[in-house]
Amino acid sequence: MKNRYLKYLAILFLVPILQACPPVFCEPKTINYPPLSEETLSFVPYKDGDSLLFVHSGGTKIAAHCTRIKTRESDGCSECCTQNSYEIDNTTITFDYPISEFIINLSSFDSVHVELYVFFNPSSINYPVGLHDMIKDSMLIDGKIYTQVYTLPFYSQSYYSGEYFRLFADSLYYNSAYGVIKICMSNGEYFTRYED
Amino acid sequence: MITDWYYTSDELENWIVDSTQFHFEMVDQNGITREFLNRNNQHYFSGGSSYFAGIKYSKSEREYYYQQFSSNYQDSYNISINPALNSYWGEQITFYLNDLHFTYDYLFDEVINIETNGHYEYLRINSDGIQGDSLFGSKFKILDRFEVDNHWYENVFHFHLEDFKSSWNEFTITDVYYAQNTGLLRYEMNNGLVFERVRKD
Repeated sequence: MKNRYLKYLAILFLVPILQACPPVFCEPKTINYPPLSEETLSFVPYKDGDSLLFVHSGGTKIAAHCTRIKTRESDGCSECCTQNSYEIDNTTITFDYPISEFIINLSSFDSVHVELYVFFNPSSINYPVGLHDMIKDSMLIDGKIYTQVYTLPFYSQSYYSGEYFRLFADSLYYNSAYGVIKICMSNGEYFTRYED
Repeated sequence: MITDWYYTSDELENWIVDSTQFHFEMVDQNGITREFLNRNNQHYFSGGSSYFAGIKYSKSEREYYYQQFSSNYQDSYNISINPALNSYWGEQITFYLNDLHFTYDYLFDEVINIETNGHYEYLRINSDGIQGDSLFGSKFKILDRFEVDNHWYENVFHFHLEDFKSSWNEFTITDVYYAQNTGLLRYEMNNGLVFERVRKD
């Protein structure tokens, strides 16, 4: 009885101590995931400094320029035993017009799965399962035939004050030869790549 | 201890819109539509204190209204109103739209501070009024009515930017039209782009 009482008392004092202090037997380490493969990087055809042209459904041509950088990011926490270090390939298309930037991020945690993140405010696309699961097709878009076209639905929105935007990008036509082919807005407007 | 209460007038409060105006669209002359959505509304009293030789002898409470909107293309604007403070300064409207910011004072009938493209200037005001003689070139005027999209709006302020021209870029906002009880009506950029509110039927 006395031993059981002492055991409970010991647990009562140990629990707050264990919760407050970092694990005693953990040696912090960083897991370095492999760099993004050339095959993965080739999904995005843009190069840093590229000049692009798009046309709005109303007929206005809009110039844009590209920046593309690769960085290594870490996640984890100061009390955790491990931190994950992984590469992110970021492509940002900045339009010479007062509309949002278009962002494409590729990141990878192994040699098989690639996480694709696309953002055009307030919409985003997040494919954590990998590019191999996305279906591609040949399509006629605005009078031009494109092959290996991915049709990607934007399915996420920023959430402001309990209301969602009713005007947002709702789908993206994309292939790895040309990049962004067409961005469709929910009100029927669209932006299509344009070649002089 | 005495508490001085400073309230915004009903006339000033008309610049703050109700929930029927929390969601609207604007379109530019190229037919590109953008949607604005209300993000934040605040109404509170901001306290202040007066001291003499380290001893607090009076308190004040000033009424404050604030509203913020943003667009799907990441534009952002907000408006706030402040009551007059005795005869020191009058009722004020402060407005931000992207990189532009200004404050208009009813007592002096002047723009008293402006900020755009990283440049900021303000008029020095004390109990004798505005100090110095360099007022802004930018103008603020309240129009009886103004037409947008075949509809007339009443009590519309028009701000026109004339200052800091050397720092302007193509997206610098040069003109703003804003109606009581409705909100942002129209704004213009240095590159000639004009954005007008689409009227809801």
